[in-house]
Amino acid sequence: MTDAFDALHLNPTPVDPSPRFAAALRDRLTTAMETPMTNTAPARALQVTPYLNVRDAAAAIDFYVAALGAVELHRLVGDDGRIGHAQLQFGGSVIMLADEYPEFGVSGPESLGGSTCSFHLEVDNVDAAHARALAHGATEVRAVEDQFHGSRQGVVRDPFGHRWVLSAPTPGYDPASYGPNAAEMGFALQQPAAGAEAAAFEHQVKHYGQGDLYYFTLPTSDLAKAQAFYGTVLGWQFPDEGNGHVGNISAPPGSAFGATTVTELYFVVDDIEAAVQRVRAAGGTADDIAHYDSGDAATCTDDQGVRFHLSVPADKYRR
Amino acid sequence: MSALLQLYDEALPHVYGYLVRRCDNAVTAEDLTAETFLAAVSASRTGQELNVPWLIGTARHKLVDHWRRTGRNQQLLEELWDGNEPAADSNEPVETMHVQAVLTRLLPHHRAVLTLRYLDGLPVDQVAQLVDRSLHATESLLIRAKAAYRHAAAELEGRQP
Repeated sequence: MTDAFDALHLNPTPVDPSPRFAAALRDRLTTAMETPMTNTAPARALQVTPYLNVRDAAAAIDFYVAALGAVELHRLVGDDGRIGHAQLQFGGSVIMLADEYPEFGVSGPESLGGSTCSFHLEVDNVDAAHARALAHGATEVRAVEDQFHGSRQGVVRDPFGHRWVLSAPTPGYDPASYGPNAAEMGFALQQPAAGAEAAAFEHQVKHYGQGDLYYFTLPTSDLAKAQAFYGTVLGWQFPDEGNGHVGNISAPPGSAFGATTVTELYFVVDDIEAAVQRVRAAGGTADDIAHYDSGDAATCTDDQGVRFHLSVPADKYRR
Repeated sequence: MSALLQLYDEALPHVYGYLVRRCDNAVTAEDLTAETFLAAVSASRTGQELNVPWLIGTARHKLVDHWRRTGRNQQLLEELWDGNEPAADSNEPVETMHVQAVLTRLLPHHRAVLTLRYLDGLPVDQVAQLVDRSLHATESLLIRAKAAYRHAAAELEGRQP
């Protein structure tokens, strides 16, 4: 049958980009080729990265790339042919892996006769991901099914013995049913008392340093409307609907929708008086230092007239 | 000069030409071109043989990823309300003079499947693989996308669809 849309077919036609773009990208590639490929984002304190040990790491990398959608970042191949270290990118996270090194007590599931942990992998389409993993040689542990906890999941064991839970949120799931559903399955939902959690996190929080963005306000005349908008677009949550502070972003600690007409940015400095002097010496202006409950602050303009704020957050906000 | 830079000089117009004729604007085409060649740098470390077809295939993946990023929420919405089987496409000729202008008005996932299936001329099973859907879902999506294309083309021409 003919298809009227076949008329849209495009034959390959080279198009020269702007010379400026072509030259800039050429420079970027040259730099990229000279830079050793590592996980370039510096590891943050207490960030956890799974490190897999497998028999035949090279075959495992092929499998994770083809079956699970990983992207290989690099590998270190030893003179004995074993892979001493490799890094794979899975969406926003990295997994490291290496061949077995029994001489250092490093063995994979096949040698140990089982594995002790599972990997939970978020995917867009669980059914497709599950089928793809099986097609590449994984073994089915559990068929794809909607689970009581709000995810659709299938479980497979990869050919190297590691167990993967492939998961995606079930559309329309009501988070409030998590506890009741768990109870039906015979599990009681327990959480640390409020406050205890905050104290437990105290040693884990990222500490601000000079130059970090500390706070911002967005101009709005209708707070509820702005909360609905940014809640939808960015997933921001507002624990207190009255002040517009955002409760679920890592930094800055809170944000507000002020009654200003422009966006306001607040940057951290170590010493407010010294910073104000630097602003003035560099050709900017700075208002008198104000002392707030939240810390010391000064409103400044740079030497081109752009307004910004400097802050030394009070201890209670210094997380 | 390295082999990769040599390939870059030769392949750039092909990769950029592929992308710029499928993107809304030159900025997006430039971004995706850069992503494609940076992926080539990584791939070259793993011994991957690089050539123009590999680069075009990679560019196509970058394009699909781009549409996926921009279309995620709309897709979810559509899947929620649109579970019905769409009617088949007609054999009426389609608008071919202003293809990009029409495609720009479509939802990203409609645009993605039409581009892959018709502008690129890929068979449906390859399209399904690229957009990570079943064959059946992709066929339905194509029919919906064609209807959306005809509707947008008619709107663009200023007459009632």
